[in-house]
Amino acid sequence: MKKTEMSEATKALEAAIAPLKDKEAHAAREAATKQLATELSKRHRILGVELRVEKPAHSAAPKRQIAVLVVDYTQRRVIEVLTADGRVIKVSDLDGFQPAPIPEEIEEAQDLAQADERLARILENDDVFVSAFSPHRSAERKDREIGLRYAISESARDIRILAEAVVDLSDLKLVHVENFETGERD
Amino acid sequence: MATFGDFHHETGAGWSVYWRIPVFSGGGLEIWWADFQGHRVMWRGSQPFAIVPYHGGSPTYKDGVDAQCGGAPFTTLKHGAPNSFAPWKNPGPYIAGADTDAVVVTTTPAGDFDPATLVITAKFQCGWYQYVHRWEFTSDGDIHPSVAMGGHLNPNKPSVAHIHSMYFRIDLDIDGQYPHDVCEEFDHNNFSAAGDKWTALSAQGKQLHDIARARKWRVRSTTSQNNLKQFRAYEIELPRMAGPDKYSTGDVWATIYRGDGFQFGENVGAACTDEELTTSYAVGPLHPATTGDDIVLWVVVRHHHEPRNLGEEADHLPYHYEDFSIVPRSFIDVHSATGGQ
Repeated sequence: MKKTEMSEATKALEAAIAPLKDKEAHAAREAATKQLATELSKRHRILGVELRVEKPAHSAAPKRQIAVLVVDYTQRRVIEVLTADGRVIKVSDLDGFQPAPIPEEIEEAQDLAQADERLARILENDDVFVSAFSPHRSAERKDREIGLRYAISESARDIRILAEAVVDLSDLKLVHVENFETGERD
Repeated sequence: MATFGDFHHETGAGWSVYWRIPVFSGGGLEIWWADFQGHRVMWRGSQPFAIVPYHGGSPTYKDGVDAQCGGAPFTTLKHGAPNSFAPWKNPGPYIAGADTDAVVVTTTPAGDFDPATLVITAKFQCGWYQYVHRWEFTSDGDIHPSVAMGGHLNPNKPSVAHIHSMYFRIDLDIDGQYPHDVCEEFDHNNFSAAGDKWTALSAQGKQLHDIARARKWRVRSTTSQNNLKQFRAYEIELPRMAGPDKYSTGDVWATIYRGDGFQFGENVGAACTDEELTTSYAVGPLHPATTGDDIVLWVVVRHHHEPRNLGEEADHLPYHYEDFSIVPRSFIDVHSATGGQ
């Protein structure tokens, strides 16, 4: 007789961990947006929605929870809203944590950086490409900053990073540029 | 079904396992609810961040969850993305649009020399580097988490040596009996009859390897026994090719579960070191003599990379794997031993 690999504890989780439905994700977003309506600035963005599972107490049934992650650029807050059955059950400020930037944020950072003529000049070369990184930050600074590296490649063996820039999406400005070719830095 | 963030179920080699790539953590592949022969072994396992200091004092990157210090999050690649600089230069064709484009699951029957296996693998772009996350589950009950480094050398420092310290978060729940586990440290002190000793940790904190003492760690249940009345346990066997340094200061941290949205690598790296694991995460008492605890271990796999930039690594980095093992002790009932299944 074939043994069952799955434990009884995992079987008890199956309903709580079933794939997220669009309708559920939508309801979670709506609930989070409504909950935070009076406290968020205009410049905020929902970064994502996903299932959240916490270990249940052994006597309790596992809950199906959905987390909504919100960044408020102006207020320099990263907020997690936990929902269940379309209702908010917990709101947490994730102090000090910066989630991975989403493509829209990287595009916004690139657009801001491109206004700098030094970086615009670098981009005139068709072999230049840009990639994102996460800059240094201190515990006190909560700005949403996106790093951009400008690199050139003519072959796999000939790649150089020409410059780095840091864009602050909280203040919508370029805060750092370093050109490795010329040594310029500000 | 979401493109990322859902749990996907797999079975094989006597295991039932879920995997997930989260939506917004940037921490790579996660393994959830790993059960062996009907008994829970692990609630969650992942390799959410890395710290990579270079010779010369700079840079020191923190990659993955809450990346900083010039590092980058782990961006999910399609599994067929080439091991080259191409996915860094032009990510569009290679970025996974859904987690199922990234993860490869293979099952292999037992052979003449090896147990059956269930293997779950995915690769991630991280700046110019690539990291491969791989979890192997064997029909002997072992788990072999591993990470490979590939992609391309730092373009501006191709010849500069550096150390990859890769941090695994391992939340073992022995037979699902949390919070009644203890964390113990093993030392081979000498060859006398009582020369080997397991010592229960009475406080959370940083642990250091000691090769001369064959040191290892285990999480042991205080409530669940196999049919020979032995308390079930899983051990951490950690090979070493490089030791701690001022950036990556320990080998294992014993701490406790404080939630699944908390202490998964965030708020580590303010000074481009792992000091927060010691000062914020692994803080507080353990209770081996009374209730036991819900133990969570942080385990570092480390590789000193002396670049072969004028040879084999000039074009790309052949994937280099480092791993450790999570091995059962008295976990299975003796009549159901599975060796060679």
